[in-house]
Amino acid sequence: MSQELRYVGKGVPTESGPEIVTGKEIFTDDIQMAGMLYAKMLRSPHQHARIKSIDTSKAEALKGVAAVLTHENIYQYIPHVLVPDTFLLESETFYALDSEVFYVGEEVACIAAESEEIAEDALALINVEYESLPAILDAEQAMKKGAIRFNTRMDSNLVGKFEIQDILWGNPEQGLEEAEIFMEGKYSCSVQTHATLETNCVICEWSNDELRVTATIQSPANLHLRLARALGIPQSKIRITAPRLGGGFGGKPGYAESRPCLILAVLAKITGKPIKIRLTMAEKLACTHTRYPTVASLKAGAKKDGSLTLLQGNLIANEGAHALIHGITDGVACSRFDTYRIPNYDFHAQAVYTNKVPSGPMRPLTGCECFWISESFFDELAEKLDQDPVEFRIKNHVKKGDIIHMMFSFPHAKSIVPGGDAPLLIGMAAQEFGWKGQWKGWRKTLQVNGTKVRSIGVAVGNNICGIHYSTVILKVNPDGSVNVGLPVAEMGQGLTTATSQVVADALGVSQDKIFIHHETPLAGFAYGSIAQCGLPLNVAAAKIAAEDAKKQLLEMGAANLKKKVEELETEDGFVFVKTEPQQRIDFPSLLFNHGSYLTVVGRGTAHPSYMDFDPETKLPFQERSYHVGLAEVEVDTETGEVQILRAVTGAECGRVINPRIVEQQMQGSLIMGLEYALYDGILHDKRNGSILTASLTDYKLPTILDFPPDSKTVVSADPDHAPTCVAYQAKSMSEAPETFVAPMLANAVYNAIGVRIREGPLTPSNVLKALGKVKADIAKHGRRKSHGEPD
Amino acid sequence: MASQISWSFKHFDAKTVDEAVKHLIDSEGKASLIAGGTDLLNVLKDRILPHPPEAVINLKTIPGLDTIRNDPHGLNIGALVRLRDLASSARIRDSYPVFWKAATSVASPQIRNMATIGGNLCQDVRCWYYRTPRLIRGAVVCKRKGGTKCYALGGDNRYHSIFGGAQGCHAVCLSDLAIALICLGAQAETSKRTVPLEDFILPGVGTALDSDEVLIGVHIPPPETGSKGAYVKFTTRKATDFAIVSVAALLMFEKKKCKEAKIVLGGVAPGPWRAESAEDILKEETVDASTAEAAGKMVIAGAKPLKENKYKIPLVQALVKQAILACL
Amino acid sequence: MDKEIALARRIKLVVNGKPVELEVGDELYASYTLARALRETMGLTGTKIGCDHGECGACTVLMEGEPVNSCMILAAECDGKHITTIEGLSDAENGQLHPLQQAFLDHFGFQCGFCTPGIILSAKALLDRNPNTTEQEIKEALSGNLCRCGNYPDILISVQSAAKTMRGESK
Repeated sequence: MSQELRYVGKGVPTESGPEIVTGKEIFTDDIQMAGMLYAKMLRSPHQHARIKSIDTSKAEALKGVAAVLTHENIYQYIPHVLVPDTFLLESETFYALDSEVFYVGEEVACIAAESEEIAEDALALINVEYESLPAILDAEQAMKKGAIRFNTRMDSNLVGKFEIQDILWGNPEQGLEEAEIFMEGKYSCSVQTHATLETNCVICEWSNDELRVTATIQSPANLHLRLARALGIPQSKIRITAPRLGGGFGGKPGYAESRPCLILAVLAKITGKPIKIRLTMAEKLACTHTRYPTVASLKAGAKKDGSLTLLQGNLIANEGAHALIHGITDGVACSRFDTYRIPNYDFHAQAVYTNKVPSGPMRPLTGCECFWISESFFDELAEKLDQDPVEFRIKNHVKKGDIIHMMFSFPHAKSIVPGGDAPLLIGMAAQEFGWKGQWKGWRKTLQVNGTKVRSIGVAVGNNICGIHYSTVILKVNPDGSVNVGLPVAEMGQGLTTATSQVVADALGVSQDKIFIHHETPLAGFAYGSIAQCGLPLNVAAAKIAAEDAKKQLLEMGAANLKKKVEELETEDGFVFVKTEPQQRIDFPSLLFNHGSYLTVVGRGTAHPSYMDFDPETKLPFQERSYHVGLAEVEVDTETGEVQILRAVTGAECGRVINPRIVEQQMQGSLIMGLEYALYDGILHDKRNGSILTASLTDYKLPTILDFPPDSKTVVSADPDHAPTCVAYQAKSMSEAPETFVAPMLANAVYNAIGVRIREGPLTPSNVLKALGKVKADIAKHGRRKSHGEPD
Repeated sequence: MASQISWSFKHFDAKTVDEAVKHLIDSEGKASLIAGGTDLLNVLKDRILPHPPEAVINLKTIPGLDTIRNDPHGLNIGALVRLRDLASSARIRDSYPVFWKAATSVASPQIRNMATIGGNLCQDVRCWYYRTPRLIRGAVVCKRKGGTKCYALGGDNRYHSIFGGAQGCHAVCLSDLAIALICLGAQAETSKRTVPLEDFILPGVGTALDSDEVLIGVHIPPPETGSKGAYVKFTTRKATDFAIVSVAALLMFEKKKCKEAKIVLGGVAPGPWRAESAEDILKEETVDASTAEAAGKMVIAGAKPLKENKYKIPLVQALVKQAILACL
Repeated sequence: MDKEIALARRIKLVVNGKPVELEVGDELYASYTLARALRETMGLTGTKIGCDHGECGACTVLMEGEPVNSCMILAAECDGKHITTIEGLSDAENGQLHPLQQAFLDHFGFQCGFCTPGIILSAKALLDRNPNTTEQEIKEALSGNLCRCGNYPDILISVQSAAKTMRGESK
C-alpha cells in the first residue's frame, strides 16, 4: 500500500443514518404515486390441481377493479415462455401464470384495483373450477420409481443436474478398506424462512415504452434479465431500482419475484397506471420460498491415528414445486461437506421436486441446512475418535492449498483454497472462550443445578465469497462529487458504507462526496446482494472503477501540473505532487481546465475467485470466509428447555473494512442461527403441504430478551488470508456466520444431556423425546391414587 | 353494502352499556364488540370468520368501565381496564400476585397498553387452522366455524388439547388472565348477570355471552390469609408468546400444611383446566418436592394426548410441580 | 341498522404537536388503521408496517406518551388522541436530533433500519418515564419490537448511551 488508508478499516458510521433515525429513509412501500393501483393475488387452495375453468367476470364488474389477469388472458400481452432462472436456463416449471398449480398458495390470478380492500373483495368473486390431482410432499418418497408426479407435464420429480453435483474423489473403496473406525448417521433440521419485517413489495410503471420497477429486490440485475426475456422487450428498456430493503437474507433475491413483477408489469401496461403489490406477512411466510427441508445419511471412515479416509453420503433436498435456481441446489449442498481434509469422497446430492412452496436461498443457500448435518456428524466422529472436538477441527480443517468442492461446478469439480487459516481462527476463538479449561471430555456436564445441566460445544462453517461478475460504473461530476452505480441492494449489511469507504480511499476523495445509487441498467450489472458477493465482487468492482477514474485524473493532473503520473497522488479530492503536496489542483478545477462540462467515468469489473487459477495445480481458486462458534448451554431435563448462556463466535475476515459492521453481521447471524436451532420454524401440514405458521405468533422471531446474555466476537484479520479479494483483501461477512450456529448448539446440548438429537430442531418436545420422557403409552400415569396408597 | 364479499362495517361509538346493547340487538347478532382491538382487528384483517360482522361497536367510549375499585366483597375490575393498568396496580401486585404475574406476562408492552381484561377473557382461539388467513389459500371452514372437520385431528396438533375436544374443537384456552382469575374464584359481570368465571368461558365455543350481552367487569373476592400463589408460563421465547402450557396455583396454608389448593392450567384443554385430582392430593398435606411431584402426576390422569402433543405430558408434570413449589 | 348514526365522521387528533383532521367514511375496513392513516393520508412514512398484526412492533408510535402498535388501532377511534411518530422526535425548529436518534447514529443502532423508528419510540417512552434505567428494564421495554437483523446488542448500547445523555451525564 503506497498510502495509508483513511477510511478502510475504520468503524465509520453507516450510510443513511440520519434518514433512518428520523424516519425519512424511503422503503419501497413508502412510495405513493398519483393514480396508483393495488394488486392482490388469488391463491390456490389445492396442493396440485388443473384449472378447468376460471370466470373473472364478476370480479371485473366490481366497482374499483381495473383489470384481472389469469393464465387465460396474460399471454395476450407477453410471450408464453418459461420464466428463466438465474442462469437463463429453462426453469422447467415456472410460467407467469399457469393452468396447473403445484402447491397450496400458488398464484392463480391477479387483481388490480383502486385499493387493496377492493382488490381483496374482488378475489372472492373469481370463480375457479379445479380438478384435483395427486400430489406428493415427501422428497424421499418422490424420488422412488413410480412415485406420484408433482407436475403432469414432467416425467421426473428429480431436479435436473447442472454440471457436477456430486463429490467423487480418490478411491472410495480404498478409503473404506483403510478405515479402522466408522461413523454413520442420518440427520435433518427444521425449515427456516426469512420473515423480514419489510415484506416483499413491487411497484411497476411504464413511461412510454420503458418499464420502471421499484421493488424490494436484492439483485436488480438478476430480475432485469428475467423480465426482459419474459416480457419480450430489450434489456435497455427496463429500469429497476432497489430502495433500501428492510432486510433480505435471501428472501428477496430477484428471481423469486419474477412472477409478481411480471404480472404487475403487464397490469401496469394494460391499465396505464402505476401498480403496487405488498405481500402481507402471511403471504410472505406461507407463500414465498423457505430453506430446504434437507436430510442426509453420512458415513465416514478414519484411522485410529485420527486421520480421515472416507466420506460417503446421500443428501436429499426438497426443492418444492419450482427450482428457483435451476439445477444448483445439490451442487451447492455438496460444498458444505468439504470442510475437512479427506482424500476419498463418494457423496451424492439430489434436489427433488414436490408439491409444496418452493424452497430457495436463505443465508446462505443450503448452508445452515447442511452444516447442521455435517457439523453434527463430524462431532460424532470426533467423539468416536475420542478427540477433543476443537482439536479435531484444528487438525483436520482445510486451509490454504487444500482441495475443496467447486461450489457452482463450472465445469470443475475441484477447487483450491487460495488463502486462509481456519485452524488458526478456531484456536483463537477457543482461547477466548476458555475451552481448554472447560472441556472435561465428551458428555461431561460443567454444572448440574437440580434438573438443569450445562455443557459446551463447538462447530465451524463457511461460505463462498461471491459468485459471477460484477460491473460498476463510477462518475466524477464536474463539481468533484462522485456517483457510484451499484446494481445491487443495500439491506443493512453495510454494503453502501463499505463501498464508499473503499471508493474514498481508492479514488482519493472524502467519503461524504460519494453518493451511491442502486439502479439498473445505468449502474452496471451484478449478480446481487446475495451469495456473499458484496465485498469481493460488488465493492471490488467499485474499487476497480475508482482506480480507473483515478488513473484518468492522474493523467489530467500530469498534464496540468507538468509532472509525470508516477509523481502524483490523489487525496481529499485533490491531485497533488507527492514530494511537494502544496503543488496540487482540486478535481473540479482539473476537470474544468481540461474541458467544459467534462466528467470522468470509471469502469470496474470484478470477477469471482474461481476465474483465477492456481498455476501449479491448474485448479480454480475458491475463496471462502471461515467461521467458528463455541457455546455453553443449559438444558432443563424436566421441561426440555435449552438456554444459551454464552457464546464466542469467530470470523476470518481478511482485511476488515469496517469493524463495527463485521460485528453486527456476526451478532445478527448468531441470533438468527439460534432461532433455526431452537424454534419450530416453518411447519407444513402433512396432508396438503400447506404452511401452518402464517403469522409471527406462530413463526417466532427472537426478541431482545432472547439474545444470549454473554456473547463475544473474535476476528482473524490478516489480509494474506484473502488473496483473491480485490477490495483490499476483505472477505465477505454476511452469510457464513449463520452456518455454524445451529450445530454448535446441537453439539453443546449433546454434551449436556448425553443424547444426540440428529433430527432437529432442539425444541423442548424433541429434547424431552431424546431424554425418553415422552412415552407413547401414558396409561400408567393416569391411574388415580387413593389417599395413603404407596407409589 | 351488507354483501357477502365485503368486509367493510359500520362503526359505532357506544356512550353507555345500554347503547352498546341496543346496537347489538339492532344488528341481529351480526355485530362485533371492540375494546383494545388487538384480537378483533386481526380476525377481521385475515377474514377468518365465516361471515363478516356488519357493525363494530366501540366500548372504549363508555365512561366508567375502565376503573379498578374496591368493593365490600373484594376487587372490581372494569372490563375496559387495560393490561398495563393491571400490571401497574400495586393493589393487584400485592394482593393477587398470581393474577398480577399473569397480566404482566401477556404479549408485549405495546399490546398491554391497548388490550383490556375483557378482551383477554373473550379472546378467540389461536389454532393455526382456525386462524388461516383467507388470502393465502381461501376460507378454511373448520368445525368451530360450522364446518364438519377439526383439521387439528390428523394434522399438526402439537399445540392443541391433551384433554380432548369440546364441541369437536381441539384448540386450547390461552387467556392468561382467565387461568389466573379462575384460580382466584373470580366472577364475570355482564350487562345481564354475574356468573363464576369458569362458567363464563365456554370450551369449544368462546364465551357464554348472548348476542345482546356485554361483559362489563370482573369481580375478585378478597385474598385469603395464608394463601400463596404462583403463575408459571412456559413459552418458546422470553417475551411476547402465548403459553405452550401455563399453570396457576393457589395454595392456602394453615399451620404449615396445605389446607386447600386450586390449580388451573392453560394450553392443555379447550377451556381453562381445573386439576381437581391434583388439588385433592395436596389437601391436608405438607407441600414438598414429593407431594408436588405426585400432584403433577395426577394432573395428567385421564389425558388423551394427540399424536403430536405427547410432550405436553412430562411438561405439564414438571410445570405443575414447579408452580406448587413456587408457592412455598 | 340505525342509519342516522352511520354518517361520515371527522376525526380530530394531534400528531407531533400539530392538529390533524381525518375524514372517515361510514363504511370502515379493519385495515384502515392509524398506521395507514399516518403513512398514506398524512404522508408520515417513518412509521413502518411490518406484520400489520401487532406482532412485530415496527409500527410503534406513542399515544398519550405510551407505545402502541398503530396497525392495531382503527383510525376512526383516534379522536382526541395525541400521537408522536418518529418524525416528531427531532427539534421542529432547528432539526436537532433527540438523544436517542443521536445515540443510534453513534453506536450502530440499526442494520436495515426498518425496525428503528419503532424501537426508538419504545425506548423514548421508557427513558421519558425513567432515564435511570437498568439493562433488564430496557430489554423488557423493547420486548415488543422485533429486529430481524438481530442488532440487539447495539440497540441496547444505543439506548444506554441515550439514557446517559438524558440523565445529564457527560458523553
